[in-house]
Amino acid sequence: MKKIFQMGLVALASVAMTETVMAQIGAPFIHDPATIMECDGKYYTWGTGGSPLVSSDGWVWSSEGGARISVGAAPDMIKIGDRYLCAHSSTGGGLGGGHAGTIRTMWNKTLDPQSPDYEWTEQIQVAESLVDEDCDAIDAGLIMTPDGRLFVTYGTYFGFIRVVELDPATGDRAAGAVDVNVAVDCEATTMIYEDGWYYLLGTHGTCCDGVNSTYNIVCGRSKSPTGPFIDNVGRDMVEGGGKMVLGCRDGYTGAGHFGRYIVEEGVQKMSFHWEADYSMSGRSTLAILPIVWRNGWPEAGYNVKNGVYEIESERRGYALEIATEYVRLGGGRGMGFGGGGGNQANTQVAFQKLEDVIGNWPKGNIDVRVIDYQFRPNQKWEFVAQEEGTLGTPYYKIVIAGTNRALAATAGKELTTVPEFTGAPEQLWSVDQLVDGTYRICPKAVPGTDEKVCLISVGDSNASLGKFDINDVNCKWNLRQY
Amino acid sequence: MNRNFKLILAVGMTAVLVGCGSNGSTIDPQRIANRNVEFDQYFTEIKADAAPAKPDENGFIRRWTIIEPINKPNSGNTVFTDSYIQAELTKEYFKGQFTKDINALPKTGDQVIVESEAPRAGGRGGFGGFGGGAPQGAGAGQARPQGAPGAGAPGAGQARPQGAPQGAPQGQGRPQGAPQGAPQGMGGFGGFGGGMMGGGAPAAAAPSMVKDTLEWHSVDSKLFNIKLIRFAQGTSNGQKRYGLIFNAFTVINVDQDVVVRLAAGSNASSIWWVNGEKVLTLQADRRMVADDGMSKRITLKKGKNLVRAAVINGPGMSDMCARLYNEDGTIFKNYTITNN
Repeated sequence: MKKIFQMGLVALASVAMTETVMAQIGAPFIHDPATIMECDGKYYTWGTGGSPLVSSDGWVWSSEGGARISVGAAPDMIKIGDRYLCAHSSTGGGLGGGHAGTIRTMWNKTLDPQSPDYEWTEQIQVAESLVDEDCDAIDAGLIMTPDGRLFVTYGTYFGFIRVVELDPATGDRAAGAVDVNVAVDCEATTMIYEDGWYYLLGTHGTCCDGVNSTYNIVCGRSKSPTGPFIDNVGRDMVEGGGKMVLGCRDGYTGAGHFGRYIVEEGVQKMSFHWEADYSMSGRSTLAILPIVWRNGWPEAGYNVKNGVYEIESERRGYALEIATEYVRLGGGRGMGFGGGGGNQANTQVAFQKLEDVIGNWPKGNIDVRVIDYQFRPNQKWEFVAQEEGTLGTPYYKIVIAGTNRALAATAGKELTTVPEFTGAPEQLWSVDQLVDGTYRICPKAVPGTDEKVCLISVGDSNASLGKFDINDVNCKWNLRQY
Repeated sequence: MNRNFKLILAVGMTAVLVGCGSNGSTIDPQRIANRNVEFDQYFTEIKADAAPAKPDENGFIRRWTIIEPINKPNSGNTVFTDSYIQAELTKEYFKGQFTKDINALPKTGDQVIVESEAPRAGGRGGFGGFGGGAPQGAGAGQARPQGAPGAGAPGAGQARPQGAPQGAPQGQGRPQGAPQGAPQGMGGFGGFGGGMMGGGAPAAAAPSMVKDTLEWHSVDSKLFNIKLIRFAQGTSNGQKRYGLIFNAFTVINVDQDVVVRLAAGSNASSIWWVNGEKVLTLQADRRMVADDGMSKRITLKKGKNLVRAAVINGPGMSDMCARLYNEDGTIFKNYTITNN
């Protein structure tokens, strides 16, 4: 039974990979995913109703290995110390019903249901709404502030979104805590802290309408976790304000239920669900995309789509190429000052083609270097997503376009290209968009070391592998398509 | 007119306290104090000859004359397409509904008889609740089996009656046959019970009709936005909440011709007119957002100018807000507001 299931996953993955790399693969079916948690080498999330998703690499997800937890709507998770705190909610009927919701918290030492330590503590009710008031206490979102204070946001489309402080030791309400209205008519709110600001994220639009859903994630920001949260046009979220973080992308509708996972400094991911993934029968699926911060506001970034790119160094703007003989092009106007052609009609100058030069390339490994981009065949890299990955992104094979010559890490933390891609770990690359919009390119493995490294510029004209540092321009690359 | 929702509150309070009791804790009454939804929390009724008002400090227009809402039952909000909005919000339910004559405007307390669709029996669905969180007992928010009455407000939260076209079998996500050509397959996410949002298709059978006597009310809102759902409850003894059309007007008095834009937000769809000209439509299922939509340039004439709004919503929150902007993008506040 398990083998059949795994075969099914591979089949599903294969179908998915031919279409896109914008959503998770496997069987990532979920609605209202909790912020992703890592526990003992696996990633976990839960959706409404407590349905689990688990992944060993962060890219291929399924319910296998998870345990349904006894929660109602839209749980959220946060790790505090060595324990996991879950906040979740129950409601009296939602859209057309009553609005007597409750927010509850509970703890667990582990998220692995096979662990002997796996046991949820007794639930604590920390907030509630009456059956008919301007709030519906569901959709909890947790945040730990830099100074160690814990807050939960809650509420939905029916009235106010509220925030109230919790005791990070118990998960209960903080002594004397007061619920504060911070937004109106959102769903799935949560809060994050970034660079001195608290960002309240919520979901606007129509939920639960499949391919017609207009769900979209918006945010406002404040210097205080209790608001006011103001959007990019100066509008308070209590007035309905909110700057778009993500709405819809081709083949995917209805982004909702934001959660953030900080991989490391400079690498942030947002988890959410698509209301409808067109490549998966229009079902609601887990998605993970990079977060890019632009002018102080978060945006959903992009996983690299399969295609041919220039790999441009952020350091100098030069392009990564294989070190092959430079072959001059004929034609053109020499000095090119415009006066040489008289009144002759313009003609198209032919691009250099792979077949024009590949015959003279060495047959074995070829080194790489970094130099002026001239859209020559030795500078064009094809990225092809593979069926395994890291959190939110697949591994890619990176080959010279039109060939199977693959970029590879070598012992000693250097680079080469091998004539044939074999799928070896040193030929697989994770490509993460960074918070500033540039990309980090890391080999899955480097022969002879367990050190985690990434593609770096060394000088303007050479490349190597080295330790990632978001503040080091040498670690960043742009992927250009023309 | 009884605007007291104590029954609703009592039910809600009981539900919360029962839910709390399930884990042995108690809730400080202060946590849920002052959360009532009585009419007076939202509105002050004013007389026909009340002194002119000003826009609030942020320019929002708080004085409106609103007629008690007209029934227009919809199980969901996905039906609010452009054509539906145009048809339903420009439909004349009573003589003079869309008069452009400021001297013929109704006054607070005036009544009309309106024939409209009868509210559908059994409430408006919901989706059965998310009950997994309550450890035991009949706490607030526990899942209700489909078809069982909820603990909510009268007429709300009950399961859709058998045979109604909008529903979906419990646990099957969005109903098959959803409107607008949803592809075959799963849709939705497979978890919710009673067709939470997808049930937007109008009933195929001819609706039964009822006649209501509806009254106009001039009010000053205590909030920047006009909480129409609370207006509906407060003027119907709590019987009207969802599936309604609201019609409202206000009069803007300026001392010289001025070019402005009308900015508005509404939950859900709305149409806005100035001096009889349709100037703004907010279509589709949407939430109230200040300045969500903004009209083309409008010239307000010296003297009285009539601003009219019509808002429709199915289940969920209903409210609206409006203000005026100068051409240069600043908020225009140099006017007074009256109800005639």
